[in-house]
Amino acid sequence: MKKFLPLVAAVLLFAACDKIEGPYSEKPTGNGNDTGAVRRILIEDFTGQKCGNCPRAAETIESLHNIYGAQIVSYGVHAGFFAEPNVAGSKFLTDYRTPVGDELDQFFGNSAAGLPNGMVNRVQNGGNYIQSYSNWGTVLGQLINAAPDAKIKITNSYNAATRQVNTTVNTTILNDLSGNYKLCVYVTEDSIVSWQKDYQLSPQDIEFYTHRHLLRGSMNTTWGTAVGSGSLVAGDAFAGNFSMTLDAGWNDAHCSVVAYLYNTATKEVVQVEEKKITQ
Amino acid sequence: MKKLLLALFCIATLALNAQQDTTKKGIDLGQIHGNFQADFQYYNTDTLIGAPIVPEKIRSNGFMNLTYTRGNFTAGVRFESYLNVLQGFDPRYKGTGIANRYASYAFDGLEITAGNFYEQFGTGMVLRSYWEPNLGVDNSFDGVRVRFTPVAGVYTKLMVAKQRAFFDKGPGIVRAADGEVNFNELIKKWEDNKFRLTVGASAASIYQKDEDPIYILPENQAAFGGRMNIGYGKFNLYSEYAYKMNAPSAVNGFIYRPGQALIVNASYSQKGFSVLLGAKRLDNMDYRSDRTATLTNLTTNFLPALTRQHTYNLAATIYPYGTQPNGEMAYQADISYKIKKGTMLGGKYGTDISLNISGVNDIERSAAPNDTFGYNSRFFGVSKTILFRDYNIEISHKWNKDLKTNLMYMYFAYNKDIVQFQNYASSVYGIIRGHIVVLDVNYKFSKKVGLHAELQNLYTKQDEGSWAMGLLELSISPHWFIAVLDQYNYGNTVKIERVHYVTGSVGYTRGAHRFMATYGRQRAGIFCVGGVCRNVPASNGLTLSVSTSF
Repeated sequence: MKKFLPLVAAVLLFAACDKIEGPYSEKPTGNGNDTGAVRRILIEDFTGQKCGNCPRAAETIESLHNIYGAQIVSYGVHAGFFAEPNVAGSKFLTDYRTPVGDELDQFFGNSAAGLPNGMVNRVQNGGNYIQSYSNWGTVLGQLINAAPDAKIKITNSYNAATRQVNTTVNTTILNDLSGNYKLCVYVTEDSIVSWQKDYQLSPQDIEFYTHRHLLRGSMNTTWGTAVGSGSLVAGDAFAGNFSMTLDAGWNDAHCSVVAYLYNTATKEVVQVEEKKITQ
Repeated sequence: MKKLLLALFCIATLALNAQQDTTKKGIDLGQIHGNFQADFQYYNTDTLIGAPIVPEKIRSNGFMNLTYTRGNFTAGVRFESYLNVLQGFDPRYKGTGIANRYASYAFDGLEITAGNFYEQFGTGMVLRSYWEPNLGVDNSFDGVRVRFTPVAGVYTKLMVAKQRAFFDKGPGIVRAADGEVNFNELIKKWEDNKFRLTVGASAASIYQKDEDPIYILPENQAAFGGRMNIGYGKFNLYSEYAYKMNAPSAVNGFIYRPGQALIVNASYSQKGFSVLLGAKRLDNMDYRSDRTATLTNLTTNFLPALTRQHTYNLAATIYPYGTQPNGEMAYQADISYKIKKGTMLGGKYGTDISLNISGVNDIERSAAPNDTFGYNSRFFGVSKTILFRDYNIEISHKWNKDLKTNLMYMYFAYNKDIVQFQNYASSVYGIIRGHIVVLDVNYKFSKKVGLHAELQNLYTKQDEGSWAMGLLELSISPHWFIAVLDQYNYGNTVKIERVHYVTGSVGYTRGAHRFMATYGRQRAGIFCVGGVCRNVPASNGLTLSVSTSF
């Protein structure tokens, strides 16, 4: 019998394989429900205009938006070597890096781990925040159906003449939360048309590439402002006022405010909300 | 985990006492062995080569292995420290901790292991794990393994494990088995036979849950392999075939096509002469215990290279070839010949000549019935796309008891777009072609003092242009060595980028202890695997390394 052990094991292992004959794609199951209080998930896509594989991550976000609709809030963070602009020539001259993005990159180590990658609600995967873009959907699926722990409401008032945006963020706690919490209020710009490298295309330098939702800056620093002091209780409500003068180069009609509440110890995002500045 | 640590600590304490006691009382309480390495680097900013600001100024990597053995029992532990991890390594190596711990017992043909272990089936095309601290690679298995030898010549292995990912484990569960029969050991009469035969087979299956909202993914992904080694006298023929069932992943671009690999190596060797001929096909053979893993993370198999692994600086570092798991057709011929001593060309000590020729092309690909399957490819279909060529000859001669020289010439062709950037769609760099010449001289001034000098030149008009390299290394045995090395990119078309990468180092060795200090510049590099590119930044600074074993 002993001699047959490897044979038996081999047969067992042969049986342990699933052959997928097609169809290969899941049917979308997301409800795209964006009314009332739902849990919204933040995807941070670390990228670079000269990162030739990064358009694949952007496509993944688009696919996930198609499934989950407004339940996903995302922005791209240009950081690291592949985000450095060229100093000469006609391509890649604009710098899309930001001090906020650089600080996030330095803390979480994204660009040094190889791009593209990103974070989903800053949940940890084996002690690491960094998730491969092909894993975003899986992590998202594990988080998205949970009941929300907080509700965030953004109210913007924008003066087109001075380009100043004043934002009020109302945060309501729906379930008791232990630990310390902070709120970050960032500004993003959508549909920036500019150079992007793409290894799957020939030629690979694309002049009129549409960069979706890029991180532009923060109204209250990289790590935000404290919400309450210590643990939060269901029913707690907080209001905060923030403002920023938009850079002359940004298209105000494409700019949004993204506000997210996170646990300062785990860095995990509790809730995120997004609102267009000119809406 | 804490209990295990405590147990290991107890064992270690016991063993330390044991070593002392053994001499006193003559009782075997076992032995402790291990090794230690720590590297510290101080970083300067250097805008010329693009060395970035390192906020910590000093960073360090270190580890210590401890192994306790007593009779049939072995237990080990490895502590690793990254405070903070050296530049060029994945920053997910963060902090300190126990990265490896195991216990193993062997008796009556059976060996059982629990905890971390390293394993390899055949050449590793179905399964192989290994640890390479200087590259930041450790994909050790963590689980249980049984190795059983029912009779001499029959070897079986069975294992279930997860794999290490930084300070945690990957999501996939690896179940694997391997059997090998060595007929010359099994059949008594064949023991000293000229004819040698070994046959082996392996199977593995990885389970990873499918929670992906976009694809329907196979949760169990299997791979199989068969291998055979036939020898007759001085001839040897090794062949191995592996098949991987559908395993869509980040590396293959989530295609459902199965993977295949075949390696055949034939060799003949006698005193002063040997020939090796090899051929290989790889098609979609990347296999990992996490379908979303990229770079060197969580690889379950290993795809051997069929090109020469150069050690001379310019040949090894400027255009190094790495096996392309998504597809390659490769061949290699390696011939060594020793011109006898006492002949005109052989001189007093003889002359060694070795010729090595290798070539790698992409596999032929044609459109599949649908995009998600990937592509179709004939098994022997070779694409016209060159990935790599290396034709080199090396002549080594000892002139007298003090002087030895080695001369190498190499022609190379390198597809930078695919090998470095995995860019199959467009040609940016084209095929870079060039020549490398190396002169290596070893001279002994006295019994204690020796000089090693190298002059190297890489000639190409493409990419960054030509490079020259010089090395002077003085060794004063038994303790000291001093070396200066300069890599000079003299052929760069951008004048300001004609940079000297100079490093100087001093080393001191005492028994098993080794101390080394290096000061200088290191070039930046980019490598991409599985749709992810990592930039290893240039650096300028002082490195201190301490290593020992006991």
